[in-house]
Amino acid sequence: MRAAAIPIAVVSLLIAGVVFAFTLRGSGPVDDPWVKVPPPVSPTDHHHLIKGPFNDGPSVTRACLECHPDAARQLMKTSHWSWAGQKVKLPGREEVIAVGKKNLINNFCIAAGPNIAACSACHAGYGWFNEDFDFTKEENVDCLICHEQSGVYEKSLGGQPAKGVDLLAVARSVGPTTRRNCGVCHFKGGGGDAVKHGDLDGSMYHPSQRIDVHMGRADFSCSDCHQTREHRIPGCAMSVCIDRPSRVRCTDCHSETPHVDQRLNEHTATVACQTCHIPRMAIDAPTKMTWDWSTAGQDLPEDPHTYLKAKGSFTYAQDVRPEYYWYDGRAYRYLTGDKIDDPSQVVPINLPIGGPGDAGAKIWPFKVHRGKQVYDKKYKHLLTPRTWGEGGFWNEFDWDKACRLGETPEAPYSGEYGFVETVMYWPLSHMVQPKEKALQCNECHGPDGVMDFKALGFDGDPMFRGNRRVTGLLRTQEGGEK
Amino acid sequence: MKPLVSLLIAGMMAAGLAAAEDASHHPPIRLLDAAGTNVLESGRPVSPMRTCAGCHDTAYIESHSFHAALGHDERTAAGFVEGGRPWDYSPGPFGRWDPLDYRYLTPPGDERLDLGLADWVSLFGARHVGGGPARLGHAGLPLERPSLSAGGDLNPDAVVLDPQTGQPRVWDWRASGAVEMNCFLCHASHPDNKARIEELAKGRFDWSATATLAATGVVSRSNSGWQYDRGQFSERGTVEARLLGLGDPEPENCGLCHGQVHAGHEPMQLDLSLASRATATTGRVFSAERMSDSAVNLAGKQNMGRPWDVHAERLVGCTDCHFSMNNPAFSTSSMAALGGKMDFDPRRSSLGEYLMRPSHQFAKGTTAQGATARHLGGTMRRCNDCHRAESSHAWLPYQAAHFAALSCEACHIPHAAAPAVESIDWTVPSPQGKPAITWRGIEGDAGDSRALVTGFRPVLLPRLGADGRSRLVPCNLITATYWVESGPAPRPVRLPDLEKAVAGGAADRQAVRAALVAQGYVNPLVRTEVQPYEMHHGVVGGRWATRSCDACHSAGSVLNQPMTLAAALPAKPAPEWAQTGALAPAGEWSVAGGRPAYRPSTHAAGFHVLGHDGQRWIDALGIAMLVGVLLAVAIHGGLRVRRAVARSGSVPAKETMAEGQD
Repeated sequence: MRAAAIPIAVVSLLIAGVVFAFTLRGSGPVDDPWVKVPPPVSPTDHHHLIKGPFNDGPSVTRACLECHPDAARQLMKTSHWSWAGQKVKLPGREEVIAVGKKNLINNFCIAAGPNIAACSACHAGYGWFNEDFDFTKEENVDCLICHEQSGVYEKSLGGQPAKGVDLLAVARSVGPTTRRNCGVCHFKGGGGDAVKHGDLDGSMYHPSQRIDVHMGRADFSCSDCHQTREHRIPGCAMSVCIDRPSRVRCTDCHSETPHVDQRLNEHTATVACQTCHIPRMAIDAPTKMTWDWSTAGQDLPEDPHTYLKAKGSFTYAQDVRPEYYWYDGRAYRYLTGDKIDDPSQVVPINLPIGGPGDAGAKIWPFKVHRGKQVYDKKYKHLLTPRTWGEGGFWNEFDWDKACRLGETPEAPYSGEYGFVETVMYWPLSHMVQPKEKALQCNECHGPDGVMDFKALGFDGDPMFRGNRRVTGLLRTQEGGEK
Repeated sequence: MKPLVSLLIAGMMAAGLAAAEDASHHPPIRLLDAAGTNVLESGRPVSPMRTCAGCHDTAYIESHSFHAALGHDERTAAGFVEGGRPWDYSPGPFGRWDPLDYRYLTPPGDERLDLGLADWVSLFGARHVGGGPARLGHAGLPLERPSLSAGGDLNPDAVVLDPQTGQPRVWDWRASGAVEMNCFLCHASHPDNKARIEELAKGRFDWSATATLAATGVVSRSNSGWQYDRGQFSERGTVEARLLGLGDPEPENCGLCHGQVHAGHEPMQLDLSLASRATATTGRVFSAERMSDSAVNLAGKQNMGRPWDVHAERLVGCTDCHFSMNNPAFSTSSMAALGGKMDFDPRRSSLGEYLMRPSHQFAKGTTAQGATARHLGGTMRRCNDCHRAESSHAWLPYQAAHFAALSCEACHIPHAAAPAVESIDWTVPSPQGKPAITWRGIEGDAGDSRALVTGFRPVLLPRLGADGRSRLVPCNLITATYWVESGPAPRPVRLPDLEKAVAGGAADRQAVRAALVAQGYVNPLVRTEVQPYEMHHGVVGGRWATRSCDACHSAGSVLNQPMTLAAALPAKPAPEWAQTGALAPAGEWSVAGGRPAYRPSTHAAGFHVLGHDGQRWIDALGIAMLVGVLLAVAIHGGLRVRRAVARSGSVPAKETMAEGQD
């Protein structure tokens, strides 16, 4: 019997070896983005934990803090609370400044400052009606806006809960954040669904993969990518983050060279993932593309898609091809009070930094919003009119009064106003499409390609001319020059 | 002077190449008529041969173009075309009868006139660039010569069949003009092919090239014909090349004759007609558009994220593979063409020489359906001239065995997404003289854009390659059924006679046959032929190619799947293969789903497909060996057990004794 054991052992070893080899071959790919995706969080049922009644928002917050004592302090360190970023040295400027939604101008509703009571309906706090708001008071933090799951919570002026909201029911519904929590504010930037962002709108509450592959196919919530630690949510729009803050990147989960086709991988040093994988924006909901405030206040026929007396003329577009520019993660930014050199020229409110010679820059897709807004003809800076409330333009259609009420020490009003064309750039990162819908070779290259390669600084189509390294556009240290 | 011109041309070409992808650097041109006068002065039709001859040797171009000749230069006596029918007298459309067109260009000396040359130009000119036989006729002499027009015999160059009388009628070539080789059809960016075809159909042959420019605004239709717009000409009487869009042929140009090409931004709709020939015969669509983005009602459309053709998507155009044979940028593509001893031949035309005399003999392959210019067969850029299959197929086990037995297309054209013709039956045409056509790959009428397009799986047939190996290639089979007059000089029954038979009330084959006999046809017989159309376009990338082992190595192997031939076929005679070229079909006429079909056999073709092609004697031998081994093991094991048992009866006693000794 001992003699028979040897061949049996050899055969067994052989079989084991084959099985082991197949096991190895069947293992997952090296680049497995799912490894980086956090496991779903089990929600805690708060129904029996929270006792009411609650008369106001702060009383709810106090109840929350009983079990989550650090939560408010954590949130108060973030821009979701302060509407201002960390102090940084901005590109093209010497001084160190903290900028954020609170003190910046855009070419949509122009400025939050003079209209804060209305704008703060999207603030994660209670009672921001004016500059007297106490940013140090923990009970002013609104936990519900991000965590309630009842679907009936609404905020009103100053960020206060809307009248009629059953705060106890809302508070008992809390759980991990969902797409809806983020979307109630971020999908409605600019005053309505899809207005401001070309890549964030109400179609993403319950998206199919036609809208976004992460959310539609894999049922991601926002926080699966914007992975939050101690209430610090990474990611920031270029309109308010102009240096390189903590961003969410595709490469947080995916490899730098994730394609099977090496030719595609060779693109990733020059082309952002978003460029190919966000071939269209505003897929289902039209987004605002232009806004001309200069025609506002006239008694023209109103149409919510083209003209309103309160807001002027505007255009919307759906399923739009983005525009493409170089972007290295930083941006120039018009700050309140900055001089306008030539009002006959378009004033960039923000401008992506980068070019073909910048190794850190890539070609990105942008929504570009073109506006025409009020400025001071004498002081030559953009004005921050009050639009909402008493004396606001939306009520009295009086630009002079609106500008007087909205003037700030940084942007005083001389009494002479005019209108100047402005432009804002919004890099796109949502509404990501799978490879089946990503841009194909012919959509960028060739006579009908979407890229204006000459405008991007190339001599011509790099498919025929060679990439920026080959043509010497990019002179890195490896190449001997910078 | 000539070197200077050459230098200038070379300089212009260099500048042109430097901005090849941007715009045409072609200089402004004078549009000249056949007499060499500026058309602005004469108002006469544009003569491409005179217009372009200022810089290009147009006579050389025409004489070096199988697109112009269409087999005109390969004529033989009827019945002597290799692989052709008894009445074919050329391997190309000039002299080769095609059941999809049905009409037969009567050769000189044939007493029964079907198509005279002018009628052939009117009908076939839609897919002919002009020149060659459309300018020179059978005799190889200019058709506008007075001696021809003055004649009136049965010379097919001089007469056409009068549809009213059914008798030959003299065609006035001096009035109609001949058809010059039309440079604009291939080299203008927006040729008005519809206007060109209309002029050909009307017999206004000399205006056909002018009509091609209708979309440029240079010329427009007027009550009396065509009128030039002086506003589009410079003071010197020239037209900007940019206005005409002169440049290299784009796939859209090729598609005008060869099948559907789509390059626009509008969602594509299918053109399912015999005019879109390569689409009709192979389901080929050359477009970078994703199928899911098209306007075609495709089955499973939402999952069809691939382009119609991966090469189109990757900006590989027709001329990248089918290049001019003396294009110095391409020159010889294949090592085989260099005798297998060189990788590169540095000797080639200069740019100037090429631009002066660009050969319009284009590199081509050889297919079963395309018999003309066989001497150029195998010159085109083939898959392995660009792709390194060995490295891109590292995942494929037994790579060499697969590459030896399969063409690239066998896996990379797993499915034709567009429908193709399955059968065409001329035996009982409609009163309007139309055949009964069935399409495969569509549920519903081919003319209905709402019909569900399912596409079809090609049948895989063995084909002898240039290296002497037989590999499987995907094909579509088109079955044609038609009447043939028996006798020493067989030929298909003329369409006008068939129409006459049908108009006389014949509603089935028997009645049609009787009517034909009454017309004087000798023993007309039905012939059923099956033409394989090789599929080399509509290529998909690796992700969409056949990759599963089970697809081939299983009982239901795709390699042996039958392809239906028609809804029904005459019981006799059995179908015959038409022109097969290098294909060597090995299989049997069969039935699939109640329809006549052809079932290929890899076994009969000499392939052995593991998992599919079982050899009974090998199976029997294997079973016998297995049984034998099992028996041997059982006997051997039994004997050992028996011996062990026998030992156990005596040895323990000894061991007990030994223990006792201790």
